[in-house]
Amino acid sequence: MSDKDIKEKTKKLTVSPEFTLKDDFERFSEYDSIFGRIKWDKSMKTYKIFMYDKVPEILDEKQAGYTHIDHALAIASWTVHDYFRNAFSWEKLGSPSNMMPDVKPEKYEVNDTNIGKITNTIKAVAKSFGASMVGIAPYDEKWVYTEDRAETPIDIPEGMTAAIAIGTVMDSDTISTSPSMTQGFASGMGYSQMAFIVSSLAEFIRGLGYRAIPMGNDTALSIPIAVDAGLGQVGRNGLLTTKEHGARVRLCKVFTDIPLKFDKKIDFGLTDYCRRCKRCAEACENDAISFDNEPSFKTFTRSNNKGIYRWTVNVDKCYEFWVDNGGECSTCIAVCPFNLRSGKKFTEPADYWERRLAEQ
Amino acid sequence: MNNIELVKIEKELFNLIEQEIVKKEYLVEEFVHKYPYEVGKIIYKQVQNNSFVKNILMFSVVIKQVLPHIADEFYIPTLTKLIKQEDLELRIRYQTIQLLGWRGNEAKEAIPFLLRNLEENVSLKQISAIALAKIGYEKFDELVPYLLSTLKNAKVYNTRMNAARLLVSHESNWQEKLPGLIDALEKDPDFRVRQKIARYFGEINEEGVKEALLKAYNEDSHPIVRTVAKTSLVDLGD
Repeated sequence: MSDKDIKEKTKKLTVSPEFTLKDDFERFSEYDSIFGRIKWDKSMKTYKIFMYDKVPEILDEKQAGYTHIDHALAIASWTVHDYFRNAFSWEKLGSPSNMMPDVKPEKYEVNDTNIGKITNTIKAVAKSFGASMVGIAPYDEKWVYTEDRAETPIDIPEGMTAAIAIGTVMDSDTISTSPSMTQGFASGMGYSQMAFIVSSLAEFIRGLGYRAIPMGNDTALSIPIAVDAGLGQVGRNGLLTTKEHGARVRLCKVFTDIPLKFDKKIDFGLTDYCRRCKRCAEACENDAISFDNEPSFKTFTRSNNKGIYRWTVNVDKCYEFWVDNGGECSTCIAVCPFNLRSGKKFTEPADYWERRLAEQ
Repeated sequence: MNNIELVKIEKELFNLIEQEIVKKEYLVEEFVHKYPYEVGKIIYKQVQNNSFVKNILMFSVVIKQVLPHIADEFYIPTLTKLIKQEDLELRIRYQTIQLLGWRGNEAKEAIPFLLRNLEENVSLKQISAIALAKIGYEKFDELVPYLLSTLKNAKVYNTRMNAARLLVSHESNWQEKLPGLIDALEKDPDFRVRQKIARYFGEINEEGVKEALLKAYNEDSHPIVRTVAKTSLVDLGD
């Protein structure tokens, strides 16, 4: 096939919101994700090297962004996520501290006349719990992991009909200091917020008599679910990118069998924009993001899901920098022009702290 | 689409651009997304309109919200048409060159005009050298002095990082390139550039590299540069 023919053919393929999947696409196993593989894959440069392992040698009181305080902040922001043990429980939460016996009303009836209202109610409730954006997609098994990081098969109960995708906008002040340990606060807060939001939303849905499975990063792929739910599109950096905040959004989701109306996917021209912009690729601290003009079906590592048309990120390289950085990196998020519509440009960590301390 | 409809679209486009200058609502990009071919045709025609390209506020909206979404057939031709204009405002010229560079070898037709910019002021020289290297200008060795100068002198850290990346991307002429890269590893004021070079050095088994990495590991002021230098030394077998 000539270059011109290939170009013509691939012009019709889309990255998002409609995914283009090849025959070799398969449901992904979380065992093959970066955080799965670091435990078993000896071929990895970062085999058995965890994200914070190099922190003791990186901490430097003379280097803003990499001080003891920065690291303590980043870790502390994960508190609710890490210590709320049942946040992602598939079952109704019970507590021995409940003084009052639980009341079990009749199952809340959802029908054609009130489905719109209950859909909006679910969204309003999610936002009351702290979600910045909420969208609803049909439950789609192809985004569910086949097994978790420990190779335990994942079996979603029969009857789930909807995926409620939730995004929380992450703190721009700290994200703008990337790369630094300080910016870890934004991610950690996002995770802690997610634990609270999905667990509370799941309890709300269960209170109406329906089933709900709250999830953070686990169980299923958050990004394509969020795309299906109309929250955004997939950018060059592989992340869900929204029109207003770029990829500065933490994602989580709830599967449920409560009848809900589905949202439309959105297309705000992100793929064309990303084709012509390479800011994230240039800024990436380890050249993990593709410089290719066009998306493709290319994969780099076992942690890339095969058979999906997109700009594939070399996630092994991305993680290698996280380890050297003593924590996650958000540089690609920070430099994206869509993030800069509502977020801040690069801020020196020292300036961030100067401003925060002056506010006290 | 007939001419009358095209005129309507043109009028609506420029109305929206003017509104966008007053208040950012990103309505221009929504509009262009609906009519990528028509707007592409309009913009391609308009870039010869001097008042249009000299209006920086207007052009800023065009760069951010129009150009990213116009049809492919007009994108490179529009940018090339722009860069040919000798009296183009500096910022617009700089951004146009950057956009051309990002298209890589698709922008080959712009090479002669980019070469002209190598003789312009400092920032244009720097961005042109980078763009030419990205586009795949066949005489890469001629660009090396410009890239080395960019690595040493560019004000923006990202530009210096780009220069470093392009210098290491060609497996040749290390004798000329390495001293500048080693110097940048030691002296670049931004740790992000230094850590990048330290990382690249992990794959360059040339004379002087290991010593430079060892020095960075022992003496660099930033912990990330020291950590990456250590990793690179391990990669090189030290």
